[in-house]
Order: sequence, then structure tokens, then C-alpha cells
Amino acid sequence: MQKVVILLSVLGVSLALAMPVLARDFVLSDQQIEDIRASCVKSQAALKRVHTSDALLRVNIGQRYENISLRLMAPLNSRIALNGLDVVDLATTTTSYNQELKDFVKNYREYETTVANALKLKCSEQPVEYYSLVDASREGRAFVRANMVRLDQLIKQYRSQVSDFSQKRDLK
Amino acid sequence: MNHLDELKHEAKTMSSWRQNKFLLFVFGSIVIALFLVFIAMRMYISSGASQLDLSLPAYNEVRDQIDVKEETKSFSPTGPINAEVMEEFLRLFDEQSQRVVGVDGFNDQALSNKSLELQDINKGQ
Repeated sequence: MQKVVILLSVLGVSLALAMPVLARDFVLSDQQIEDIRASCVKSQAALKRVHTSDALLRVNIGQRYENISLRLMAPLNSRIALNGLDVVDLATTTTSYNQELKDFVKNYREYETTVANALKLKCSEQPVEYYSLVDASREGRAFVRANMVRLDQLIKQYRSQVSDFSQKRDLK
Repeated sequence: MNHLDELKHEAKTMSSWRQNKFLLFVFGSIVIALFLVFIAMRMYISSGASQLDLSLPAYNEVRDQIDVKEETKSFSPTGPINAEVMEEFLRLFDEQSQRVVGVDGFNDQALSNKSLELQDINKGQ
């Protein structure tokens, strides 16, 4: 019985070693792992530059997004409501905008954490983990990008609704 | 009994806790300070503030590009609604939206294998 268990264990380990390494949804061959190992230090330097410029963009654009909501949208909605006029459309867009802004903040946090983890790794010792984190960072970045696109759309939508509001009430 | 003898006698009858009171006070203060620093650091990290903290040494090169001087005028939440007011609002809104709409941020090119100087992994499959 003991021999069978040992034999099965050896077989299992051999199979695991023979199989290509799976990182997220792609397969890395030994050659590819070696390629990553060879170029990962340069790659980490490039990733660090991206990380730095992303942080700057996040701070600058995040502040502008917040200003639009807090200093422009919310005050106009309040003013229209205080004048007893219909503000439902504008308020709905503002709510969507604020929710999208929250998602942007959340997605950026997750993305930044993944990139920071990739930068902390000793990539020459853990090339597969490094590539896996780079791949996860791409996914996170795409989410942040999608939030930005949606925020742009909501800003345009709000602008158009304000114009419609003015036209309907002959305020133009 | 002179004063010195009184002190010696008092020291003998003192508990070890009372004898080391000052040391324990200093040690206790350090432990409390470390605990508070730990909580502050946890809050700094968990709130996401650390991710936006461009005063960190890693952001030296880009610090001067932060828009600290950028001013956004606030629209007043009270007052009448008329053509002039709406025109003023749209002017402020356009001014601010121009700074964000169409900004090509977080595009996928920056993390492509080519940009990160990595071999094209997908082609190798």
C-alpha cells in the first residue's frame, strides 16, 4: 500500500513538472518563462514609469472630476430645485456620474495595488507570477479606462440636458 | 535614623513595580506611540491616501506637474434661474469639462508587451 502511495505521488509530481506553467488564462512555455526572466528587470523599470505617470494623472483628473460634481452639478441641481423647476433628469445623470466616479476611484485603487505588487516582486526569481500580475494590471487598467470613457459620456449628457432645460424654458 | 537610611529602608520595602515605575512609564509610552503609528499607517494605506500621496520620494520627477494652481469656480446653489445664469453655468461647465473630456488616460498601449519590453507571450502558444 505504501509503495502505491509513493508511486502515485512521484507520478503526480512528474506530471506537474512536465506540464507547461499556467498563468491566469495563458500558457507559458519554458522558453517564454526564460524570456520573461531575462527581460523582466527592464520591464519593471518601464512599469515603474507607467506607475508614476498614472499616479499623476489619477490625482489631476480625479480632482477635476470631483470639481465638476461638487462645484457645478450639485449646486445647479439645488438651484433649479429651489426655484421649483423639474430637475429629475439632471439629478439622475448626477447620481450616475457620482456612482461612476466612485467606481473609478475603486478600480484605480485595485489597479494600483496590482501594479505595486508587480513592482515589489523579484521578477527574475518569480517570472510567472510577475507576468501574471502584469496581465492582471492590464485588466485593471481597462476597467479604469472604461470608467473614464463613461464619465466623459455622462459629462456630455449633463451638458446636453442643461441646454435642453434652457431651451425648453426659453432661457437661451 | 538619618535621611539616607530612611531612603534605603523605603527602597527595601518597595515592590519591584514601584521601583521600576519610571522605566515602565517610558516603555509604556513607546509601546502606545508605536501602536498609534501602526493604526495611522493602516488608515493611510487602507483609505487609499498612500496611492495618491505624490509627496513620496518615488514621485519626485512628476511633483511639479500637479495642478495645484488650477482653480475651479463654484456655481452658486441659490438664486434665480434665468438666461444669464444658465449661460454663466454653461461657460463654467465647458471650461471644466474641456480639461477632462477626451483625455487619453489609462490606454492599453502603456502596458503592452512592447512597451514593457517583454516578449510577445501570446504568439508563443
